[in-house]
Amino acid sequence: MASEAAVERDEALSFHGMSWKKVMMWIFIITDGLLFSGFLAGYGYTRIAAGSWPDQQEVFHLWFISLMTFVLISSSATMATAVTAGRLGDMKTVGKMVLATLVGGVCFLGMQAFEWTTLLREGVTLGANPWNIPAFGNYFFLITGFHGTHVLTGVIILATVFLRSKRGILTSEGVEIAGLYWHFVDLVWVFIFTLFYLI
Amino acid sequence: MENVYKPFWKTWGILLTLTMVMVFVDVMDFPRFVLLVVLLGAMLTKAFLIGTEFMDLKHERFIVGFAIAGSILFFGGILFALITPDAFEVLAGGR
Repeated sequence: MASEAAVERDEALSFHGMSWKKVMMWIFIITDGLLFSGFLAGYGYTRIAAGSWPDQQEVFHLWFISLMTFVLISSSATMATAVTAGRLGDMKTVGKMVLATLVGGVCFLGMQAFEWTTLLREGVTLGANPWNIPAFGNYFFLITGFHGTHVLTGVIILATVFLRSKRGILTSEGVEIAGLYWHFVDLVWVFIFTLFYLI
Repeated sequence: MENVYKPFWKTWGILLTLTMVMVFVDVMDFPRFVLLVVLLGAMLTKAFLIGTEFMDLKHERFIVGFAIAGSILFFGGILFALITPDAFEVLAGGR
């Protein structure tokens, strides 16, 4: 009887062994992923319908975008390290790695601000651009802006996680859920980088 | 770095290598078909690595991975099924 009650209690607190907090984060990731899928599918359709599209190698500095990708991928690796350290109970490493991830996120945002400023100075806005293809500016600012907002949110979450680690009230599950969100931000960038900047 | 963290840095190295290959292929003016195959292949490989290694899906129960990957593929499939015919019509000069 006692073990049955324990099983029932565990089932109420988890979904197939996964805590409900983590399940909720996964549900968020799925719905948000579909939102980005919608944006990218719309972008693909519009690009085909537009007939011509600016040459990305002329518009963007690929080495700079690659550097942004490097920063984001590196921050994902530090976050994965933090999550594992959290599981091992090594909160000192968690603090260091979360801080490294946070710095990566801030660097990425700074680089994106620089990229936006450069393009705005070159005359790329939501309504117009030097190539007379308004949809280009629309999708560029919409997709990268929406992703950047996610990075900013991630930075706020990471700052909170870091402060909680300093105060000694951080749980390993808290690090894991923050990690899931951060990896999702990285995952979305993989698609944006390929579909918007390279293809 | 302790051994337990090594897989993440190995994945990090693979992701960076794939990124460099993608940029190289893009800059080198390969035929469009080759470019698309390499870029889309590398993109999906990177997404798979992030999902399995960083998001730790490979250690979750099958039902959890199935629910996550299945729902994304199902709804993503519907999205593309609705858009693709229109896109091909545009490509063929239909409108």
